[in-house]
Parts: sequence; structure tokens; C-alpha cells
Amino acid sequence: MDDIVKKIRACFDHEAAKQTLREKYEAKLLFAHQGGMFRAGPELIVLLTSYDTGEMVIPDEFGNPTKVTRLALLDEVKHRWQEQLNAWLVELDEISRQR
Amino acid sequence: MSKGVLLYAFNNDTTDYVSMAHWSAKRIEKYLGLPTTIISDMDEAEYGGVRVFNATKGGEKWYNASRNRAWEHSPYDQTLVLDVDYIVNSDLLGLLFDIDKPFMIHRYALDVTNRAHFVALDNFGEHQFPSTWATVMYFNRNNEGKYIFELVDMIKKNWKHYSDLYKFSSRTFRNDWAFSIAMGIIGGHKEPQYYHIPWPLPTVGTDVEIEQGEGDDMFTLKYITHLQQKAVVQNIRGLDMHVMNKEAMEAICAGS
Repeated sequence: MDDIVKKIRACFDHEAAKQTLREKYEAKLLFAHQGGMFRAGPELIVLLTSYDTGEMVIPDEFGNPTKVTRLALLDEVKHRWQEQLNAWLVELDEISRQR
Repeated sequence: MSKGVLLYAFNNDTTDYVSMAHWSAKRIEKYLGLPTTIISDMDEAEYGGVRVFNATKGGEKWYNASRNRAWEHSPYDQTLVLDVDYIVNSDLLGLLFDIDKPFMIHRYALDVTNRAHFVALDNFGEHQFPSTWATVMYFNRNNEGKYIFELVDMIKKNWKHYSDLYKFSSRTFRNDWAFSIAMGIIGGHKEPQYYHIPWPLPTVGTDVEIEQGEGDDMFTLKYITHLQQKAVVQNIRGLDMHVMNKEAMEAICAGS
């Protein structure tokens, strides 16, 4: 009987699941490019878009100046950001339906 | 450049770490596409003390003190050292091979149940020196990595001296602390963020029941919330995890 009561009372921990999902996708936004490590996101997209040079030097996640090919990095950042945010949205939707 | 994963697995009276290592090797091949070398010969085992992972079972002898020899044990140019209770459940660790720093280690653990379990382990000793988690370590054949392993070897040989200096109990050898001290020395006694893996180590505490769910990358966690003392469930998919509940980990390995 105790076991049944325990099972009935167990419900999904939505807050922890959301937090875990956030951490998972924060890590998935990281990627290596031309010897540096970058985090895909709006700040990097805006920075890369606001220049018109072919190459530029920007700090990577560890604060190291890294020479990058601007448009190649911009393409990768945009692609990764949307890809991971889409996957995040799908999973978030799934967990919000769990009871 | 050869790449691979090194696992240390020494059985004791209560836990079959070798089976866990073989189970992990299959997942490493699947998710990271890397070969694994398992060090399980008891001649290589070094006793690290007694640790309690399950209060009802009491302490278990912990043969975890060989890690400072990973530099010589690894047959690879780029090596990832993992604990066998770390579940590889995504390709995330592959990024460490792309970054390819001389040495990398986790600085913080993330409590997957969001109960802030591991904050007390962020620092160690009376001086609250920053601690790292040797559960996951990456190194290449650069001399800088070699110096860290040599320093850990020296610290291990003089464990009592370092325990007096950093003011912690010397009864149990802790890889986490030995590597933390080594990196502190290399970094000029400042916290060397350069070596930190840039995401936290997802960790599941000893009081959490964990089972494999539907699908290879799905795990179900069951635990009691701290504030309301409520039994809750969480499904985790595609996230690597360090599982501290060895009994549950053994059951998962045996069942799949």
C-alpha cells in the first residue's frame, strides 16, 4: 500500500527539468572554430554583423584573441543558435506536457 | 593524432566497476566514436581510502588513486579520462578534442535535481581553496599537461604535508583535491580558469534513484524535494551525467 501511495504522489519536477534543459542547451551552444571556442548567441551574431571585414580578431570563450573568417563564423553561429534553440523548444514542449 | 578514452576500474567487495567500465566503453563508442582503454589490472590499483556512497551498505574500499599515472597509461595523443560512473549520453565531450588544450577539468558540478547539493564541494579545506572535479579530465601530449600529472604525483607522495598546508583531513586521498592543488601551483596560486571545462558537470546525488527509460539516451530520476519533502520524477534525455548512486548505476549496467 505504501508503495502505491508513493507512486501516486510522485509527479514530474518541472522546475528542475527546465533548469536541466537550460544547462544542456547552454553547453550545446558551445563550438570550436579556427582554434577558438565560441558560444552561439545574439551577441556574437551582432558583433560579426556589425563589421564588414573578411577577417577579424575577437575574444573566444576563454578570453583569448582569435583570428576568424567573419562570414564563415557568422554562418556557423546563426545555424547553431537556431538549431539548438529549436531543439530546446521541442523538448520544453514535451516536458510541459508531462504530469 | 590518436584520440581515445581512458577508464580506471578496480572492483572492490561491494561494487563491480569493471562491468561498469565495459558498459561505458560501448556508449563511448556509440556517442563519441572513440576507442576506450580500461585499466583494471589490480597491480595498477592504488588504494585511496574508504568512502561511503550508500549509508546502509557502509563504506567501501576505494581504489581510485592511480589517476596521476594517466599520462603513462594512456596510449593516445589526446586522452579523455572518465570515471566509470559517468554516463556518456551525448557527443558533448567531443568538443574537448576540438578545443585541444593541454589539460582540462570541471570546476563546478551541476545538481541535476536542482536541489543545490554540491555547492559545499566547490571549495575544500579550511582555507576554502577552489576545488575541481576529476570525474572528467582531458589532456594532450603537451608538456604543460605532463607537468600537471607530475605535480599530482608529487602532491600524492606528500599528501600529509599538503593536507597540513591546505588544512584538510589526509585520511582519504582525493584526486579532485590533488588536481586542484596542482593547477593552483601551475597557475601561480590563483584560480587558473584556463583549464576549466566551460560547462558544469551534471551530477546525480547518492540519494537519487536512477533507471534507464525508454530509449538508450533516456534516464528517469526519482528523488525527494528538500523543501516540501515531495517524491518527484524527472526524465533526462541526451545529457551526460555523473551518477553517485553506485548501486543504481550497477543495476543500469546489468540491465542494458
